[in-house]
Amino acid sequence: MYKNSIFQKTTFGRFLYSKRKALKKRRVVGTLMLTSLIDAFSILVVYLLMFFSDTSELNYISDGLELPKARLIERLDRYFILSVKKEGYFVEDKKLSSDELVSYLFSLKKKLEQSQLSYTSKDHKQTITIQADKSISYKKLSPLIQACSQVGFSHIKFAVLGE
Amino acid sequence: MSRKDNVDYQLDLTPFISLLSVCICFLLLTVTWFQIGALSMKQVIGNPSLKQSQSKKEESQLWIYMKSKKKIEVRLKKGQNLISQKVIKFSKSNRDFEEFHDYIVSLKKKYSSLTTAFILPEASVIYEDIIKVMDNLRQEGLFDMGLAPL
Repeated sequence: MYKNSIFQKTTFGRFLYSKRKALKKRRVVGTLMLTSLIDAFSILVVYLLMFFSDTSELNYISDGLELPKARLIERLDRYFILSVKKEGYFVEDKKLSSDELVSYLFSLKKKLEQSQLSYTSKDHKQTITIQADKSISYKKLSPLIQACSQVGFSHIKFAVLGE
Repeated sequence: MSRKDNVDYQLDLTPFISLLSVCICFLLLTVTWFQIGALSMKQVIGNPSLKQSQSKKEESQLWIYMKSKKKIEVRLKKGQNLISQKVIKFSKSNRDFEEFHDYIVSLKKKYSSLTTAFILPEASVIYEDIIKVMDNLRQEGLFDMGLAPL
C-alpha cells in the first residue's frame, strides 16, 4: 500500500516500512506461563474442598423455614428429621396435626426398633432432629417435645446454622 | 549425550489445568456455603436418666426460667437448696444475652463442676431466644441440658 506512495519516500515512512518487513520475517512464538494459573487453581480447589460436604442431604431445609443461629454447634448426624413451621408440623412435605404427632412418632419408633440397618444404633433409635423456624413460640414446640418423650425419643437435636 | 543437547524439558500443563477446572466445577456444584449443625438436649420431665442424676448426685444445677416479659430467672441449686438467684432482663439492644452470658461465666468460675442446666420456657418465649440461651450455656461447658415442656 505504502510501496509507491509519497509517504514511503519520507524518512519516517521508510523506517516504518522496513520495520513492518522485519516483523513479517520474525517468527513469533508466544508461550503462556501456566504455572501461576495452576497455582491459582490449586488454591481455589483447596478453598472449595474446605466447604465440601458429603452430607448434603442433611443440609436440606424445607421452604419457608429459617433456622436460628448458634456459635458452638455439634455435627449433625443422620437422624430422623421433623420440621416445625408456623403452619404446623411437617415430615418432609406431609403436614401433621398435633394430635397425629404421637401416633406418627410411635409408628416411626416401632420401625426403627425393628430395623436391622447398620446405622440404627441405640443412640439413633432414641434421637430425633427438629428443624424449627426461629420465630415460632415455645407453645408450638412444646407438644412435639412432649410427644417425643412419650414415644421414647429422649435425645432431641435442634438443627441450627453455624454463625 | 553431547553438551549441546538441550536437556530443558517443559511439562505440558494443559491436562493439569483441565483436571483442576473439572475439580473446581464439581466442587462449586457440591459446596455448601452454610453450615448446619445441632444443639442437643434431653427432655427434663419423664426422663429416667435425668431423674436419677438429679436425685442421686448432690451436684449443683442451673435452673433457667425464661419468662414471657423478656426476663430470665437463673437459679443455682444444690439438691433442693437455693445457692444463687438472679433475674436478667433482655431487650432488643441486648439480644445476644451478654448479661446472661457474663453471669454464667461468673457462676462457672465459682462452681467449676457445674455442667447441668434445665431450661423452663414459658409459652410465648421465642424459639430463637431458647437457642441463644442454650448456645451460651454450651459455650461455658454446660453440655447436659434439659428442656421442660409446658
